[in-house]
Amino acid sequence: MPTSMSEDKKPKIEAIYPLTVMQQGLLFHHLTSENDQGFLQVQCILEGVLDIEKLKEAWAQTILKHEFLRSSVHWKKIEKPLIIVRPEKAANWNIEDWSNQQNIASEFDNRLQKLKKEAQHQGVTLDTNPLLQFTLIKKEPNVHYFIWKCHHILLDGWSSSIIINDVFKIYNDLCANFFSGITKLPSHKLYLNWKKQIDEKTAEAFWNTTFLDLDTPLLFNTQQNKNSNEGYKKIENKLNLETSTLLKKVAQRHKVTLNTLFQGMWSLTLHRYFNNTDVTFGNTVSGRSGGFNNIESLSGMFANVLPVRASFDTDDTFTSFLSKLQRQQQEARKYEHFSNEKINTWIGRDKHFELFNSLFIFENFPWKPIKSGALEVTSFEGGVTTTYPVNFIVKILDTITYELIVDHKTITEASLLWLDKSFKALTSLLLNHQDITLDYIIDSIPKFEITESNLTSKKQKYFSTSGNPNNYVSPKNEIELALTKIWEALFGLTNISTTDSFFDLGGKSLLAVRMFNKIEEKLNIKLPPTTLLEHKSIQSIANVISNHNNSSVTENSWKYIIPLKASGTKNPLFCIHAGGGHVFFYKDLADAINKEFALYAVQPTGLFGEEKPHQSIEIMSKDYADEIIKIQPEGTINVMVYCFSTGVGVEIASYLKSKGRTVNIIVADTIAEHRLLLDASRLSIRISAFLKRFTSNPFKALNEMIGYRIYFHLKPLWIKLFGSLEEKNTEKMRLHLVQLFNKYSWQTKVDTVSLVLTKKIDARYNNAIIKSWKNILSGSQNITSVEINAKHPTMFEAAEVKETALAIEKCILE
Amino acid sequence: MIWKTVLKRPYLYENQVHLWKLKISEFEPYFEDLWNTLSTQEKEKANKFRFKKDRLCNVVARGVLKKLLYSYCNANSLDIQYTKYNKPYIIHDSGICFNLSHSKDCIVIAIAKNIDLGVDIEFLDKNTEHEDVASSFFATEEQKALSELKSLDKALGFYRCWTRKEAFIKALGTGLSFPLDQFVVSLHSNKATLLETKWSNDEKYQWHLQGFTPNPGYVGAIAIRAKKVQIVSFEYQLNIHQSLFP
Repeated sequence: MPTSMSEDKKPKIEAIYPLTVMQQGLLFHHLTSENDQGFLQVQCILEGVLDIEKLKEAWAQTILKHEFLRSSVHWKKIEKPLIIVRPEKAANWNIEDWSNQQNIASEFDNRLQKLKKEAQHQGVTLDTNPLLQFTLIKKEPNVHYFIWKCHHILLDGWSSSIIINDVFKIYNDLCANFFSGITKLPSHKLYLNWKKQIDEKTAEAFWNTTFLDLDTPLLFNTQQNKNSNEGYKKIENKLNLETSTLLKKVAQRHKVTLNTLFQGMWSLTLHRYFNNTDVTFGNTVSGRSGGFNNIESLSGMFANVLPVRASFDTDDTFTSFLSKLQRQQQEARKYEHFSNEKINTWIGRDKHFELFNSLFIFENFPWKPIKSGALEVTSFEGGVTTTYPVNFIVKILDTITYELIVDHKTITEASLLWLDKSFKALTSLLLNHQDITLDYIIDSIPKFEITESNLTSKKQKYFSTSGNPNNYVSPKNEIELALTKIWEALFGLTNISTTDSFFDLGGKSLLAVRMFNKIEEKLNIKLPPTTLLEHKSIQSIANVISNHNNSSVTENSWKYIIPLKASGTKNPLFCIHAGGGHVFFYKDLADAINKEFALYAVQPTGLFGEEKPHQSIEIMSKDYADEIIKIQPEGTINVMVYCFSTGVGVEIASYLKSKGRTVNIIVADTIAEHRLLLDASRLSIRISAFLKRFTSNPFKALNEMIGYRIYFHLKPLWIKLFGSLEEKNTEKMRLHLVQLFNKYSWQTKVDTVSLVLTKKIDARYNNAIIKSWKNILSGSQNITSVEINAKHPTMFEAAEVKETALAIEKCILE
Repeated sequence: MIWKTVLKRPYLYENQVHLWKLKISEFEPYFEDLWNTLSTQEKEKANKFRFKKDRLCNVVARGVLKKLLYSYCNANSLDIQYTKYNKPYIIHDSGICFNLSHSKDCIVIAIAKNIDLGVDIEFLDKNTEHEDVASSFFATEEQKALSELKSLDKALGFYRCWTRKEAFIKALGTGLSFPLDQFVVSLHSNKATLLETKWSNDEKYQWHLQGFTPNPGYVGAIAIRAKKVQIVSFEYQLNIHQSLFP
């Protein structure tokens, strides 16, 4: 029998361990994926005089110390994959000398890259000797590159760093003749036994509380870049010393670790990406915080990926958000040994539920330069293992480096660039502001533009159409096409049918307003948002627009007329503005009047300082009348006047009469020519009435009787001194209108007048009003009057408007 | 504004307005139950929505509104009617009146006794053409106030202005038939004020306007025709939903 066989027959197995869920995942990945993400090459540079034999010996001792260096993974012909630990195992050394071939500096690098690429291609054989393939390359007499092929199925990132440190500690001792044997470590078996007795109840409670009420988690859509064949794409950002130091200070200021700070920043980036205040991601933890003896010296696959939930209120400050996150982390570390499957079950989800699909890695395991014997060991390069589509990796040395790595097979470059850009924007926000609220951060970082394919979640189904595709009607003309484009942009939808109702698509009033703005911009036509009440579809609105275009109106929209109530079967009522130019005191009348009557208010231009106001009552009236007859092309026109607008009513009537139309002037309790009020003959009436009132209710009487005159004389000064811009505009208009009325000559005669008068204390007052109108009637006199229980200044207000409306209805002529 | 969680529906005092908020997605699993509370007409209306998300919103809003109204009115059935401007209302001895608004994943419902009220919430969408809308629909003074804001605050300012105006016209009950430039509201963060109404000098004194944040990323406002009024806000959660009869 050959010796080797007999050696193999000795107790060749020290221990057998099952694979954890994560290890099973890595094995599966190793066996199925072309690009084994578990494989990595640890590299460092050894500067100084190297004793190769001592290095080999140091490794041999380290292999004895760490059981997983002596293990292999087995899955063939067995039910469940296993890790088998051997009592001893020799390393394979590949020693090369490239020191005489490097005339060109870059040649070494090229060769090295080529070698590593080949190694990557070969990978490791998990079932034979996976962790003990070493390459030592002599670059210069005293410069060596050491490359160690590793696989994450057996060793996590912390482990490789622990092992390298052990190797060079032993090498140092060997060189100093100081080595007295290895320190024995507790076996993995002990660790597993210890783990079994951890109370799962508290862990379950913790995870359960953490994910209470979590909505469907938002995941990166891995379908977004399906056609790409490229592998992982990386953006690396090395922060300079100054920025690194400043960021460390930011963490200190918020009383959190750098790890938490970066997690917070990453969460906020995800918040903006998904435009949601509740996000989840995976966080790589060392798995070494459980309090098991010497765990910080153990190697193995302890690392775990734990779910993190980051939710916030916009009222939160960045500080409170971070400390909440840090508390969750600290608590989570107590329960970090549990698999995601277990956590999923605890939080009431399916075992294989995808709680997150992006990974956060904070690498702060000690990759610091080591002094060992005559050597200086520097320039460590590890590698990261990930099977997640989106990864954020932070590396802390003197300076901070972070990397964004996405699986380009599934994630688009646009997403990658957006994440990078937004993270940078967030960094500079934090560096430039001492105290910052989340509100501010949200406002400052634009959300990721969600095209439908970026978002996968159950919610997505609500973005899909439920309508029957047969109901789809495509645009039939240019107007419909233009409208469809506007709707598509506003709703963020495609395939809108021209028969779809605006409201059935989920439209609300703000969207309505925006739509009519777009219509004005694109089609150069101004429609009131109320158009939608009767015309809800693209087809219907397009009809309104084309009718509008075909009609003889030269203007794009009504300039003066505001429909307060657009529908009605009988002749509409046109209400002319009062002295201030405003018309909206008529709104209660529009509500109160019988629904058979439409009600239009007529408002002057120049009210808001945007256009030049009319310079005479005559021109003003002509313009108003032209618009009125567009709305009511036939039948008697009913125009209501109130306060200062009497003259306008008179001029409209006269102008339209010349066009062959009949006009009925409905007068709301106003004397024809207001200057008559100041006539000496009427002064006595007013004073006696005023005094009667004054005794019972002085303030009311003051307002009612001479209110508008106080306004006339005192208000300008008041406004000049204290008025707002709005009031000043109104006042300017009012004064302008007063001027126009004062200039008006009252030469025109009219045919039909209907008076609606309020009860006055002194009957002479109403008689004066009637008389003033009789004065301007033409030969064929036609005047009616009715008296109502209301007061002049309040006749259009809620309490009295019903009675006013009733009286007006009776005055309207068909 | 603090949104209290309560175990049972609180008593509504005369001078109070109760403001309820809820997340639509939280009630998605209960779609069936809510659907069953709707009348045939309500179901027909819900079915007309082309998108499930809108249908979900409509059904949740209507279902929850009915639950709340039945509870406040202590009634087994109520006839929700509409004014000619499409504002829903009920006629009930208790004097209960209400107003509802929804945006994206959020619904708010305001309830009071014999008080005109209107509520509006909007999800803050930065892509809205603020300036265009403001210049066509806002009062000059509001446009000026908006233009004075820092660019970062403009979107928020716009939405504050919009929701306040919308809440006000919803309280008036006139909807979009009412010209938005005929009254002026403040855009300030905390103080929501009706500054001026063009048709009356005194109307502004009758109103109480209040801004609020229903959920992060949303802007909301409530308008109440009453000066001395207390707004109490609650989170409408599943437990309260289940506690309400029927």
